[in-house]
Amino acid sequence: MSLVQDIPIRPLSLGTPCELGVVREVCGRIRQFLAGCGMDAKELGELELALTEAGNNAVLYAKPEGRKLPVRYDVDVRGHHVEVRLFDHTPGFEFPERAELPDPEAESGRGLFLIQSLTDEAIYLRGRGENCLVLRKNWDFSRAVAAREEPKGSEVDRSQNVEDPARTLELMTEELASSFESLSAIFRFSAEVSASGNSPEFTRRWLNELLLITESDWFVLRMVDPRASMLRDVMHSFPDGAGAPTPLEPLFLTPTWRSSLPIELKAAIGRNDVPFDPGAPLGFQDPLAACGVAGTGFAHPMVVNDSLVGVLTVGRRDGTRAFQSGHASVIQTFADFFAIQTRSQQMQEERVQSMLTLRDLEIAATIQRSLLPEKLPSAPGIDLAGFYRSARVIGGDYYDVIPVEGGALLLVADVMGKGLPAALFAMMFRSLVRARTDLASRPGEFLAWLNTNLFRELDRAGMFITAQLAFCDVGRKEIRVAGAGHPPLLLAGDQGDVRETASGGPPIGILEASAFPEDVVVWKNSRLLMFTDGLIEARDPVGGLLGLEAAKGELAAAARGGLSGGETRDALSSLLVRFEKGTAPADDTAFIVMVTTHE
Amino acid sequence: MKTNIQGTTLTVAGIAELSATSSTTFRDETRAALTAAVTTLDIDLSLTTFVDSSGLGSLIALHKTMAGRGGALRIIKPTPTVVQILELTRLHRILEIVS
Repeated sequence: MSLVQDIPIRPLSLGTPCELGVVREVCGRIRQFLAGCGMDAKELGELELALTEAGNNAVLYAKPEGRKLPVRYDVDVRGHHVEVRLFDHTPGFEFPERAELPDPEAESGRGLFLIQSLTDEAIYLRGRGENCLVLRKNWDFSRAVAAREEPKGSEVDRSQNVEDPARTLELMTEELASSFESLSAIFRFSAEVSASGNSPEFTRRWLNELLLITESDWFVLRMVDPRASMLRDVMHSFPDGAGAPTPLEPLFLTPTWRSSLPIELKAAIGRNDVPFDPGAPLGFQDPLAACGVAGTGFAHPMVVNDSLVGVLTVGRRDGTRAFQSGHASVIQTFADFFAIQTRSQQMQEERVQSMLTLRDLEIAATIQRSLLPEKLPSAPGIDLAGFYRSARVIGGDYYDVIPVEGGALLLVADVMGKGLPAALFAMMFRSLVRARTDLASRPGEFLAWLNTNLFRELDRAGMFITAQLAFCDVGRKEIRVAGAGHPPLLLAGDQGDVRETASGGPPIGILEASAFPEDVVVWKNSRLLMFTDGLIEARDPVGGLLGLEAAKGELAAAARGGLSGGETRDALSSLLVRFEKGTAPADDTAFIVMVTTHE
Repeated sequence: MKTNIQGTTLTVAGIAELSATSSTTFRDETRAALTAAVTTLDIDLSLTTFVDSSGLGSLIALHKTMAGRGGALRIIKPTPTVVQILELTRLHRILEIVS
């Protein structure tokens, strides 16, 4: 019994055990098959030797686990050539562009040279677990086939042939065989691309195989450069010095002229395949016309999620050999696969970039947190606590307590907006405050000075800051408050009565010359709350606002309960959590609680 | 494969193929047939229709064996197919071919 098994899918497909002994047998079978297709003895001998060399390599270099798998030989006879694909399970060979002969005295090392010399095309495709050697030998089979199908002297009615069920079945089988080939190539492509990513070498190798599969002669792959809004030549198959510049000139996606656009641009802008052939040749100005490749072909736009990724143009030099739908769909499918892969790789890179940006922001956030007072100063009879939370990684809210002669300056500020720009202004604000603590006891004047010094920068950026400054005068037991467009300061007595103090002027950065009147409140068993609007504008899951009254209620309850500064802060913070029920905060939040404990 | 010694010449003939499966045997059996008196090794390839790179390797090995003992290897009446391969690999320059 023969060791060679027929697999009835293709014109000829042979699976053999991975053994040296069967290589000659299978090559003999292929020779016999091709002789039956009309190939002559000299060509047969050459192909047989090339195949034997390849078959021997597939056996000799197979890994132990690979030896358990069959070596497959697929033979396709086409009009003007035969193609044999040999699938091996070796670790893969380095397949040089042009193998050299070894030293004449060497006893080995001539195999690849023979394979390349005795075939018209030899391409080695390395894969995961399986590699494929594609060998092509030119031979005009069409005459021999025609001679057999249409014997001289007999009239053949072609229309009858097509209607003949047997002939129809044969045509369908051929169609199935050709789409099987395309599908398997696409599957291998997708498996390989997910394993290795699409490097330029990988892309070139696959585009070359695409030319083989679709019997095409050339390609141009252009990708969109979004920064410059143009299509750039990523790679093309025209040899150096063939008249085509390398790379081809980029094509602007927003051309200033509309007539006679290059076909690649037509495809990109119209999002449609644009064909060309001798009947509808490339335009005079088309860069492809200058490459001397006029013939037949089409430009295919690669679109992923409505966004243009690039354009793949494939052509045949012989203008009479129009693309059949099968080959065209292989090219389209390949291009679309490639586009999806490219896009997902770009998105991966963007994700990495945004992770790096996030890392930078986290560092900035650490710096920003370090600028908040680590431990609030304490004085006899005064108990302070602060709270800070940003809606993003970093935020524009800020609070501070600065001990100064005669007392302490308490302040909260809120830069319009969130994120990095807001955080930068919050830091500027802090530096300016820290630079002029001599103004601490006159908060209105201090705000006016801050407005003067920040106005230009804020105005230019179209931003503003609301702030509230309160000076606690320990000697006079009073608080002098001034605000700049800020929510009121709340002061609760020990009976739970809460009053609001909202005097002041406009936000900093709105008017160049602003005045900020002060308010003076006497402190006596008081509980003071200064906050940014993030507290009272906290939202619950259905969009309801926490509101000023809720904050006042919580403060009053804390006053009646005699809670300390820290306990009051915790009560307010827990009010936020209960109210928000897990809703992500929309705004930054900061507040300071001050409790005076004795007369 | 047949071997025959006449005087100082060993002739090896009746070789159908020199391939990966047969070339090692061919080389080793030929070496075994070499007696001390042999100075010329004639490999008759008139019936040989197929030689691959391992077959070429075995011919080179025997060529070196003969050169090492001051003798020579000759390829006798190779078929056109084999001549083509010898010329393609430029071994006709180092192997003496007798048509």
